Amino acid sequence: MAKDLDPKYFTGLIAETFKAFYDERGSGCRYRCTLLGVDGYKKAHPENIGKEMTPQEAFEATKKYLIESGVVEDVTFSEEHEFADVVNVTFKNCAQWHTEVKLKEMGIPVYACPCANVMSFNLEQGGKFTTELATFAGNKDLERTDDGTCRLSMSCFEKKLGNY
Amino acid sequence: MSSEDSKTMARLITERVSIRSYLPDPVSQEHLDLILEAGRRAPSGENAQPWKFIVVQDDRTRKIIGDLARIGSGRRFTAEYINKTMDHRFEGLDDPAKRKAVFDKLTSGSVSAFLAEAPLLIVVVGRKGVWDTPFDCSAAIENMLLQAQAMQLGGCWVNAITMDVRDETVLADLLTVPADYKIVSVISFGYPPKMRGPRKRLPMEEIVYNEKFGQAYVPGGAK
Repeated sequence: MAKDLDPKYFTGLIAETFKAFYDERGSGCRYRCTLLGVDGYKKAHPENIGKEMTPQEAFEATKKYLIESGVVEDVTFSEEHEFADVVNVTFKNCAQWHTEVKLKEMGIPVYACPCANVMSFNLEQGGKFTTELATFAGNKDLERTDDGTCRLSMSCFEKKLGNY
Repeated sequence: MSSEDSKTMARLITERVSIRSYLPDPVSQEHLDLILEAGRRAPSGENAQPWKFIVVQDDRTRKIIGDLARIGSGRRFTAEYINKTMDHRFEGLDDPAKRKAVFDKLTSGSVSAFLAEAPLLIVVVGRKGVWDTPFDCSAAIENMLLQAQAMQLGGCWVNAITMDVRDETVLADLLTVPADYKIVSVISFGYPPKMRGPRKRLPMEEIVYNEKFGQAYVPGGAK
């Protein structure tokens, strides 16, 4: 590899890959990226695969992994329970951000969040819930404040499986 | 092909609708074989025929697939409630109890659970190492739906269950689909209690352009 390669080269490549996928699959592409980032987490924390977690525990495990691996600076979490169970998370100074800026420049909606996917994965491990990134539904963009914080909401849908 | 054949074909295409309610009677072997043959006869790029058709009639497997579809649908509707995409469905409903009832119905996922009640499911699986797999498989699916229609069978092409990679992974495990194949869609079949009329289609003027995108096309030819 060439010495001192600008990291923006990779950021640009990732954004272009997202764009190519969006151009091919349309807005349905977001459902094909719900496991993006999860493989790295599973390899780093195999002890958490299949482990039932409360939302608070899922948050703690997500926060630990994302901060230790240098993906974000901080993660916060809160819950709401009005009709639906909602988990709100914030990610501060995410490494993905520059890719998202590039995507917006290209006119492509941000449709995948590897950080949120790790949180979803942890929430779903007990088999009780399945989750969906609500802030992305309807093609809404990520919301980010001036201090570099992304805010996301996830719905938790109780599975209630039948007897087979 | 006679002009009568042409009319029959046009009628089949026009009258085909998605049927989500079925009698419990199993689909006859003769009808199943004709549906599969229609799929096999579909066009494919370079005649690659990248499809495999998994016939599912087992009660337990159908129930699991029905649950998967219900859960996926409920999950999406719940998210749409949170981000207010479905606000219009609550217009004029000030009573919290009534709002809750509407919410529970919309997010129950029951709209997609009919797969469990269909006597026959055909899961269409495509080889990944082929350029045109999704297009080829889609052609096979439409062939099968038209053949079913010709035999007074109801059918429904369901993508919701395979749209999210998380659900597709579960379904692939359930049906032991190898990694070099992707699940394209699930199609349900059965004898309908009654056939419905076709749904409205957009007018030709809205969907057909002349030579360039956006340039008006006059149905029947320019005068």
